[in-house]
Amino acid sequence: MSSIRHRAGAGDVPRASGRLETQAGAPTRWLGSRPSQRGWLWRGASLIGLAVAWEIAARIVGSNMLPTPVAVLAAMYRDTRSGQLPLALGITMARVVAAFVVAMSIGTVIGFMMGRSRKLNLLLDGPLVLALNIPALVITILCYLWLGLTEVAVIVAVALNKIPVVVVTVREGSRAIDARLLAVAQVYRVPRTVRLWRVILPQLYPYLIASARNGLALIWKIVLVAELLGRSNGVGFELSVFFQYFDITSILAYTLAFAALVMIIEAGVMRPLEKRAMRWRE
Amino acid sequence: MKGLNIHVIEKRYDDVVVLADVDITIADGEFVAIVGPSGVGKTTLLSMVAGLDADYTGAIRYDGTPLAAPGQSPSGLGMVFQEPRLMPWLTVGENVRLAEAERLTRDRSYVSCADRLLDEVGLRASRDAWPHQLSGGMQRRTALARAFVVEPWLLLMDEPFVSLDPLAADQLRELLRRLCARVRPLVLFVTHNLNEALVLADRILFLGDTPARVVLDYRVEPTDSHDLDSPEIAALSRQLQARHRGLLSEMAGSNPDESWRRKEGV
Repeated sequence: MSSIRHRAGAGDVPRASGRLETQAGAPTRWLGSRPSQRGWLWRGASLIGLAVAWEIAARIVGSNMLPTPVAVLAAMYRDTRSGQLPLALGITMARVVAAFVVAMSIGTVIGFMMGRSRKLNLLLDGPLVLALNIPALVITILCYLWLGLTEVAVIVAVALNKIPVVVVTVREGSRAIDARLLAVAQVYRVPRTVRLWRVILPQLYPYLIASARNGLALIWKIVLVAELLGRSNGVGFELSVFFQYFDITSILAYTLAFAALVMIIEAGVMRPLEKRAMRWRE
Repeated sequence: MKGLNIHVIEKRYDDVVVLADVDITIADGEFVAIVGPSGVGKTTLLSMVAGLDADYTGAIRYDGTPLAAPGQSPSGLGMVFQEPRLMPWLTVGENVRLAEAERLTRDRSYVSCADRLLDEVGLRASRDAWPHQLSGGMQRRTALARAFVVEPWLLLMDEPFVSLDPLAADQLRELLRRLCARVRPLVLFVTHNLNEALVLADRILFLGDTPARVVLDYRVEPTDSHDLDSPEIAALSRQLQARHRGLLSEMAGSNPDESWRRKEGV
């Protein structure tokens, strides 16, 4: 059991600690630490330090193999003005979002049911371990072969890669659901939808958020591979072209642009969502 | 048969029979305390009435018809557990309104009485607070408000005032008395404190023996005393224990107040 969890990288799921036991006392701080102002300062400093180190290294090497940060920024600017970079980013991001939504919804439903039903868990645990261990590349190639070099194939391939990871995390969460709170909902005959939104899902939020965060990072990496293998647009496709031309500057420019976009989404969407879902712990 | 009839032929956990041959009938609006040593099956009995535990033989009926469909809780039920059991992610007001959700979906014209209940329990100002910001006593007030917001005809309480300081417990008992006087529910109140039972209840059912059954059905003479430690209650308690020595000796041991009194020679 623990080996699966470990492999899936779900071991770092925050405990839903603010539940009943700690209700009367001080609420336990969530492990996913809230960055203070100082925290941001440190983050910024480390990134700037990295850029400086890169600049120095590039000057020492002095070759096309390692372009300077300035050259990379210039390439980024050039392709942004020509529209090539934003278009590629947009297309890839659309695939990421589609695969993310599909994987999160399916994975959450399966994970929740596996956590609630012993029988279903026994039935699906084997296939789950298998799915966790199939390399992303294999799933992607098979999807292209079976579904053709289509948009659907990309989404399906990427979602299939992510679903098992979501399942493992959410299953953990649904096992941790407090039966005592469910009893309250039953006693007051709380209707199903209200029960889901006000009693069950809040207990799963820490797990869903952890899963979403890991998911975004994992999914965009797989999407690039899928694009490289079988699409004629998007960041992955552009990278394959730059690869053929030995254009390291552009490779770095596109990669950094996309990584920045993911970080913005993390800070602009994921964190605020987490804050809202967890505001009762303040 | 009028009133609430709890007839348990047998309730077992695996191979152990916990309750057997329990047959209790309670009239509307009656306040019944269920008293007995810990582990005797008091909480189990409440869970069965609440519809949280359907794994027994027997029947629970009201005026001759089954109280609720199997696996469901009866409508118009209020329940207060040993812990407050508030949803930590809902505010105090939202926690109370959660109990009204069923009514709200059934009856669009229904107007929430959560604010009124919060007024009654003195928590108006804490309506938008999170449960963890409240003291233990305030959390229990919220649980009381949640139970009474449905205007329950049946109220189940499972040692609701344990692990509170005596003053807070007194205040909560007073509050419960006031709410009951207005709503007049049929109450099943589980406690291991005989004095608490004497102060609150019209009738006390003593559970004992293995498997547990009702060993004494005691009607409490009404008193004006609301104080657990008043001489009047102490006398009643002594009298009861003298008359049913064998039956209550176990009880006294499990009652911290009583053992304290014996040691101090009061």
